[in-house]
Amino acid sequence: MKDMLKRLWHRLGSPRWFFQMMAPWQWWLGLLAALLLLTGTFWGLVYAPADYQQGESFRIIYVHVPTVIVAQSVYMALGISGFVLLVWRMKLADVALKAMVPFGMALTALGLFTGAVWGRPTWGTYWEWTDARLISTLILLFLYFGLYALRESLSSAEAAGRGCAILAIVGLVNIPVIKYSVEWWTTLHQGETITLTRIRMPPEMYIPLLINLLGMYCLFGYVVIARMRNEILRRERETTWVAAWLRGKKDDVGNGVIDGH
Amino acid sequence: MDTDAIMQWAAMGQHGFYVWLAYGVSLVVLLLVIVKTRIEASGLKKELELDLQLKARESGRTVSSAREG
Repeated sequence: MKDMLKRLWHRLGSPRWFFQMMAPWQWWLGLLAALLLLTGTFWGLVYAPADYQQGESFRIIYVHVPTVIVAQSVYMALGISGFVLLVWRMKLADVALKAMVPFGMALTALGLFTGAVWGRPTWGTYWEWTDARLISTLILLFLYFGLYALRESLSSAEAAGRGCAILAIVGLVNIPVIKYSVEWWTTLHQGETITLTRIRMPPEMYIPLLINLLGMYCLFGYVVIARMRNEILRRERETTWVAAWLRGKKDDVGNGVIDGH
Repeated sequence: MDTDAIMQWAAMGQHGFYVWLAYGVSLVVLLLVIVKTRIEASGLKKELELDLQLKARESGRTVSSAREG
């Protein structure tokens, strides 16, 4: 097991290996994401019972909670990638840093938007400036903006990578603040309904939520792998393996095999 | 299926606007992210293939001019 992990770690040093290995994973994750998100959303909108206090508006939970949880996970993955880039200078870590930011940014914005839309019928307001959960999530969005702007503004790719890695690691401090904000401060935002040890919901309500959460993680995998493969092609365009892959791909398409490299 | 039942379900107990707005915007944003990634991939592949063809043509020209020379 230890040897296998060590071998995998060394292989991750090769963008070429990652590019070729991840092609089938990308499609399976995409398919799984579509199936899970369709099932969870249909279940949540049609079969899950209405909440006894919030009524039908509670159904926004099935889109809001998966987006904000995965948005935070994306940021944690950014922090880990940043650490790997700074310590081991692994090329793939920089590729991952660049590929994950737009997806995390979109999910955070979506989480804030769906939360605001849910807040109106539940709390009577779209936004509350004194709510710690809302403000810490807004800070997460600003961190994503910062990472995106930093990458775009520096002409040296190496400096941009290092800068993003440092910002990603520093910004990690915001993740526990988001998580525990509802416990540390008195907020308008409700406490956590689902934790690893306790679920305060009946199964007919939380099963579609877990399905959508899993679907959102699969979508994260699909989008990030696709974006990483694009970035690898861009960076390695002058190498012989990319030329060979393009020639092989053309031949494969001719033989009716679309992604058989 | 009963139309009234569908209409009642779509109204989401007077919260239809909020529920459908949240789901609609989420669908559009997630689809945009996926479509943008796909377009980027196909554009990049076309660009690289064109690059490869140009390089092949150039190297062919170099070989033939060397032969002529």
